Amino acid sequence: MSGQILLDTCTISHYLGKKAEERTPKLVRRVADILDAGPPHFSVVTLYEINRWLLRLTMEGKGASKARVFSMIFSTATVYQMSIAIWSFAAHVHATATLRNISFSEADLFILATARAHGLLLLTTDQRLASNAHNLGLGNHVEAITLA
Amino acid sequence: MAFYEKMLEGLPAQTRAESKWAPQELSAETLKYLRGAQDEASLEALVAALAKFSHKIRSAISSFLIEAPLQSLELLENSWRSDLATLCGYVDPLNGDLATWAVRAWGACMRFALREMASANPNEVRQILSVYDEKLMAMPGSPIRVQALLMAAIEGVRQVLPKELIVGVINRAFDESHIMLAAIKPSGVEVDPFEGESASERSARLQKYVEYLREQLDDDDLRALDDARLRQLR
Repeated sequence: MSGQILLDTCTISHYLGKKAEERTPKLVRRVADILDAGPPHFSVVTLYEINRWLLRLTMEGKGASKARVFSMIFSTATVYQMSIAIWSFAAHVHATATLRNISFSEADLFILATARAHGLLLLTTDQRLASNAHNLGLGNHVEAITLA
Repeated sequence: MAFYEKMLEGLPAQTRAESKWAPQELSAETLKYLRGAQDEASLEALVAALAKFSHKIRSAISSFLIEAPLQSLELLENSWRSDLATLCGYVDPLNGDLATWAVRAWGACMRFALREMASANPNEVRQILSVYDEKLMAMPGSPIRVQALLMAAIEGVRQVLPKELIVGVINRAFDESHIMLAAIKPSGVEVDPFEGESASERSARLQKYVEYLREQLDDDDLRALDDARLRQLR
């Protein structure tokens, strides 16, 4: 593993909350340390999720300024595209998980597969994702962080 | 604008005399844009005025850029630093940062071009610089559109026009500069507006952006992000 961190979409969402420092001090410290160490890393799936959210806000007349700030953040980040290796690994995890009655959202599957393909550690606030990854023997690719 | 003004100082007397009209005419076109509708047609008119000026002194610009690309680079960087200070001093910090980003993105593209020129065949460079493609210049994300908008924002500050008007122009310049970088990326050219920035400078800049978002995002917005998550593809 490279020691670099892939930020999950839900991690970003909690990190950007108005009172994040009061509500989730541990998360804020962890992400601040990551940003101190180097450019942030995101999956293109996170970029897609954030873009479609910002477009909706923009269409409602309250997203243009937020979208510009996100543009500046993403221009500083490393964004990992989907590759054959990522699709293949995601398919493998999906099949294995289905046989064991473990269900993943598509986004979680692709983001986890991206972390694994690039030797990154996925930082997530989603305890279910972390638990599922652990049950499938992928726990070493995930760092779960509690919000409290 | 400052880049052009300083470059004009270094031109032969005859070219300087021929171009004497330019700053006033450009300034007039810029004010027309700022006081007008600021729509696509008026931006195209402003870009055309800037292109006409650049085209008129193209041979002088070519010689200057070909003979001394690295000095041009220094001149460019000094002039945008002074313009940026003017802009940032006039608007709120977020819009100052958007202006910084747009100016740096434009500067990074110019830096890339000047570095390429330094190692290229002068005749080829002269040939490329002689091409005047009006359609290409009018395309969203063309560097001359970014430049025209930044010039307009700076001129607006000089004329002490209302801040909200300047902010609108800065936002448009930012959007255009974003399109500009995205448009050149597929050709394998990646320019970094913050080239040479240290890790701590980058981290401080990112933290500032995060604070802007925290100020703007409410709980409803973040719930909407949760709704926008990709759950099942079918």
